[in-house]
Amino acid sequence: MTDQIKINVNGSEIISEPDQLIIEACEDSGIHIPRFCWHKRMDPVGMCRMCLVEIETPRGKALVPSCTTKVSEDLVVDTESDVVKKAQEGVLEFLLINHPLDCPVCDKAGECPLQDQTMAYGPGESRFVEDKRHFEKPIPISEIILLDRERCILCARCTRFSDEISGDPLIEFIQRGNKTQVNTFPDEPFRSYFSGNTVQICPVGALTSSSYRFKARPWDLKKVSSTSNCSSVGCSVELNVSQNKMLRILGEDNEYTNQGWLSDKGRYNFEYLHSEKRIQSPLLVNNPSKELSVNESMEIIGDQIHTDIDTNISFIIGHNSTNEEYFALNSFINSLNENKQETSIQDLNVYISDDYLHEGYFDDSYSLGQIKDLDSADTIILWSQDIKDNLPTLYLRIKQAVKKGKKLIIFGHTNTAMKNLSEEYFGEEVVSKNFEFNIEISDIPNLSRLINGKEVLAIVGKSSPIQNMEPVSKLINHLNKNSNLKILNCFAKGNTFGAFQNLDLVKGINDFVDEFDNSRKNLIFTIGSNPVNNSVYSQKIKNHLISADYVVALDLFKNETTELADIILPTTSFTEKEGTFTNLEMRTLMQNKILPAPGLSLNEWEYWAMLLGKIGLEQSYDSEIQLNSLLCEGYTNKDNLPSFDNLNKPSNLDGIMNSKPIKIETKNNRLENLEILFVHRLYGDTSSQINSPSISMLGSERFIEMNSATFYGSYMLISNVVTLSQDDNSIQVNVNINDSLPDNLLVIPINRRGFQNLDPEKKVELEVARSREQLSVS
Amino acid sequence: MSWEKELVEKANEIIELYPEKRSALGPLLYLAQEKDGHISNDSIVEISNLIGITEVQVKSVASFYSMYKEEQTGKYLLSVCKSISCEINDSRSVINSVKDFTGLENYETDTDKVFTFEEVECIGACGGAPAVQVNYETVEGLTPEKSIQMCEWLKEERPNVIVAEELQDKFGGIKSFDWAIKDNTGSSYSVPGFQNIGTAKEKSK
Ligand code: SF4
Ligand code: FES
Ligand code: FES
Repeated sequence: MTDQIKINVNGSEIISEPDQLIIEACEDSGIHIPRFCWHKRMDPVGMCRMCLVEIETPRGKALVPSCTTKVSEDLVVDTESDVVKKAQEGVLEFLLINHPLDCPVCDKAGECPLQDQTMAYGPGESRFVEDKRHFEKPIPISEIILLDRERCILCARCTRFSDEISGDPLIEFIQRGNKTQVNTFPDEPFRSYFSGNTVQICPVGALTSSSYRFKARPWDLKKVSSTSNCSSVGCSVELNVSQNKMLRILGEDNEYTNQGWLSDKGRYNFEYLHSEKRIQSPLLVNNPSKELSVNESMEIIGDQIHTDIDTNISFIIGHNSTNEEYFALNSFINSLNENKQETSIQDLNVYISDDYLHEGYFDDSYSLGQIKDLDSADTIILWSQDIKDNLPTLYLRIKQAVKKGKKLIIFGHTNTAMKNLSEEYFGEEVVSKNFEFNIEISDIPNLSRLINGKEVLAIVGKSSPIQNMEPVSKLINHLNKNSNLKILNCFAKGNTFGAFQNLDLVKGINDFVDEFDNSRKNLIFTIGSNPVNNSVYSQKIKNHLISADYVVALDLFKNETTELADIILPTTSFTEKEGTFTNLEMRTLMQNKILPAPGLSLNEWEYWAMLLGKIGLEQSYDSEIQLNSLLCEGYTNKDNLPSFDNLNKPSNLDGIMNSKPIKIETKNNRLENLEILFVHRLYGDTSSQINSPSISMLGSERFIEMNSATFYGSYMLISNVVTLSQDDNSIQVNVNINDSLPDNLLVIPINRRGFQNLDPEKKVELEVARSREQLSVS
Repeated sequence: MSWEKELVEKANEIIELYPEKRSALGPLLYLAQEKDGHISNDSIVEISNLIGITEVQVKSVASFYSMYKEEQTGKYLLSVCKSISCEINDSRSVINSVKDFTGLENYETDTDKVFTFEEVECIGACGGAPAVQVNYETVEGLTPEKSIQMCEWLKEERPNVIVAEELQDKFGGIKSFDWAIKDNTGSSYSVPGFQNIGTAKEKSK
């Protein structure tokens, strides 16, 4: 730590870090300086001049922007002098010259920095009587974002965000002087995974989102902090509700995780909560579909568990349950295990519905890393599925780390979207299409220079659902030997780590496919998971579910999986339950309840508790609070338990690091020659997204990727619209060329409609789709 | 691809001159301007691919500077100075006569795409005020009459390359000073003649 320094602000002494900006140093000491363009997570630009302060210089007092001036020892700052006030009034008077002052119809009114600062620091009246500048009022700049250029004060927060933070500068200032405006290039909309952040940081109502426009006034909103399920980063969010309706999700600045940012999926994927299609009561699926009371449904399922036929019970879990719910499931399973004799239950297994499960690097020979290690490592190693699509806010953190000079090394054929950030991208020369090494690790060019003796953070997981993990383990061991290695196990989905921590044993969905034993009676529970969609094993899982004797689905919506169930139990989503969430660095965070559960929906744990009762077994809890304190008993480090009480302490709002031993068992799977690389895109056809109208269209485009050699050479395509077929399936898709891919590898998004039936082990045919003219001729 | 192979090659040569590809943006915009008489969206796409920045970033620069034209210019861009030295020397009458002759208002182009007229700020020829540029080739010491003659000459002769010295000989008056280097090249469209990026043209005669 470098020494702190003293500065004098408004006559009192404050302590500051040496390299801080005046505005930051003041902020840390509780002195607020008004600002529009400065944002603590972005580089300063000094655009708006709202933050002018007076400092003493050898040539007398001078007005300087506090957002671009650094502190120095004994600096004397005045943030409230008459000169400063005059400057602030002047800046605001100018900013308002062209501002339409349409606050009564503006969504930002009530939480608008321009409005608030005009009240606090403005001149009170304007001398401007001329015509204001006019622009067409709001223009859509993407499917989900609208821009009102008249309201814009040209602070460049949005344009800087898109360049500096998210790295997709699709909006920029166009024109000059009075005509300056933010805009996109024609036909090149602001399609960014992170566009919603610009709406949140715009200091006026210039940028608005289609989902929140004209929905509410800020003072009518009920707000609570929570944790997003969007990925295993566990982004801190603020939920905004009015009249029991979720209207908006905002990013909260959690230093350790999302630092204020969210992906658009994390931000806008909430309208489904209020969809009419939510299941409201237990349902008998067939014969014919019939609504049941909760009690009736429990009787029926209880009878299925309590029979005298030898039964295997499988639980296929998703990633949206809370730690408390996983814990309750675990104790449910344990109670059944202990009472096997009376119930004729043979095998009980938990499978997680995630194609990317592997056993992970959790044992004591490895030290586990945290996200913040990105900022202290010398080198970042990435071997995993696409980070930008699956852990979008982690991508932002990696991008920041690279900006600060950290070296990024990417292995394999995923993460091509991050190639431009990388120091080394080890594609085909190093890693084969099957994700095995083509050369000895010690021969990989430049690797030793970047890792030997260095601080290395490795973000590792499966890149492809079908992949031998041995090469990755070999790499990890090499790194462990030669560098100071920390590992971030990359399982991308929601509360996957909560499942690992609270279930004694978790297996993979491929293991379910293999282990399914038709000779026994099979009772299957699917819990917030839809394995018949989104998995490379979809087809096989479907067949198993069809041949199973009884299937119970716990879910919010009817979907491809619940269709095959015998009974559906309606459950609650994040926002409708209280609980904890554990992120990929084992940080436990709070998820708070702000909405009532719809209809007869219950939390998963309530079902487990009732079922135990039905088969005459005891359960030791009847609330989330009790579950939470029970699960806390399992932590060996007792100093910092992630209990509700602890997590609600102001010092712990950013989460608590603590962990339990993790046990994952799954078979390694490999293919001799991988031709299709299945990937998950950020947007897809999950029930939640399909039922969120504002973003549902974002997951509908069907496209595949290949390199140009494959496009022109192997498939000899002449158009980007092709028909993809395998056996009886055929789908029309667009082809995107991606020259970072090796020859003859097709990248196919498994979470988009129409791709689930493809078999990764078989070849697909591609044929140019017939043009409209041809069709009309024939 | 809207750019011919030759133009792409030329662009790549220019890009080579800079340590960062994106630094070549300015000159490449001139190539685009010389190609179409304005910066077309097709050219913007081309440039964005060549130097690896997004289209809107190219557009941002292209729309910021007034010498990059968003609208197509005529064969001859007439930039008449309206700044102080010229104003004192009666540039108003020069402006008016050019406007009368061409029938154009500021930033307008005629239907035949022969002339584009603009009033501009100081073009650095104050010593020879009032001054005018034709395709950025400067003539000094103009009178209203001479400026009309010049326009007539341009309209009838339709020279492909405009060279400052020739204009000065034919229509100019007082000159600020003699340029140190004798400059025999000119420009052929609404782009300044720069030797290093190849927009300077030799007059064939
Ligand atoms: S749209 Fe908003 S964030 Fe962007 S420049 Fe204008 S005021 Fe700033
Ligand atoms: S906040 Fe300092 S200039 Fe805008
Ligand atoms: S004022 Fe006209 S050239 Fe300087």
